Amino acid sequence: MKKLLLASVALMLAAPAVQAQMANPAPTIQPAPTPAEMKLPRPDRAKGISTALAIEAAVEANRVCLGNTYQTTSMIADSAGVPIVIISNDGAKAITQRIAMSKIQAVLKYNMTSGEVAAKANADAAFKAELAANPLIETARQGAIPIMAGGTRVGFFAVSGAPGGDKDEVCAKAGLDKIQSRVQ
Amino acid sequence: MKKILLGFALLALTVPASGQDLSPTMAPPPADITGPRPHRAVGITTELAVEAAMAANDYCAKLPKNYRVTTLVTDSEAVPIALISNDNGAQITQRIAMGKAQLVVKYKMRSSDAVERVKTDVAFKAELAANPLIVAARPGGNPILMGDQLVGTINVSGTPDGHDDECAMAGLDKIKSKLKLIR
Repeated sequence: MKKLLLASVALMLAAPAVQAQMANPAPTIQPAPTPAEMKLPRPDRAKGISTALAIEAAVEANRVCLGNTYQTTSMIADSAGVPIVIISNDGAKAITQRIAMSKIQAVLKYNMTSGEVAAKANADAAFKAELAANPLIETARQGAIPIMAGGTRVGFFAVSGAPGGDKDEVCAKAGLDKIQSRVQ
Repeated sequence: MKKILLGFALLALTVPASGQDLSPTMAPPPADITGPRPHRAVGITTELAVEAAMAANDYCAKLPKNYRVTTLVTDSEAVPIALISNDNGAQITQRIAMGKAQLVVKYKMRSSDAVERVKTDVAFKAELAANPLIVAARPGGNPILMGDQLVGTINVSGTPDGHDDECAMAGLDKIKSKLKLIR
């Protein structure tokens, strides 16, 4: 009986966090625009790759990861970090979309791969604290790379869902490889 | 010189609304990612989600005004499975589409029905306005149903003159005969 009670208490302690996530997952995308925002001018997306290429690359990255038994979300953003394409593969976790975005924010802000940002954070406590203080990044995680056309950064490619950012990055690179020759 | 100054003034006024000053489309990463990571909720397969989103975007692009829209297909809890923003789509459309998805999931109704309801139901309108995830009823969000079960949502944003819903329905039509559940 005592053991049962103990187990119940432990369960109750653990449950709130789980329930909070399951019952009301935070939205992946920011809140809807306010009426004031709706009245602002609506800029087109920034410079970026075409939607068709983005879909092709995202599908390829997910395919490669699935071949390695990982179910992932691939995200491609324009050069301002606005998503053009998100494709979340069957079986991917519901948190991966937001993690992918944080990786893109790291590349956008520091102009290096998110893996390089993570390596720098490991060696530089002040830099790590700076990331932690940025709610859009928080922690640097490998798996996002810039999309380059010549010397110009035209977008971002992130993968999340593999057990380890190094494994995510493999898929992002494979997806980009598939389209790189056609990126303008 | 005066003209140039005026130009700069205009530029200064318009810049904050564009590019990097916009809040990011995606929500910030979770503060604690060491917790359990639930799968997506009940929803349709990724393949169908991509097909529907592309069909909705294509339909909108072929209308007389060649609308460039964003289509968001989510699971039954509004987690995105496929988000596809067509070439030159306006960058606010991802967030507008998400607001529609949140409405559909919360109220289990088409967002166009919600638009009708707020016309006569002041309390409902106020409730939406008080919910930062929804804010307002905007047409173009639709439930994906299997029988009576909500299995996802399809949402379009980007036509300035009321064609979002038509494009979303075109996307749904493309896949509705072959819906398949997955978790």
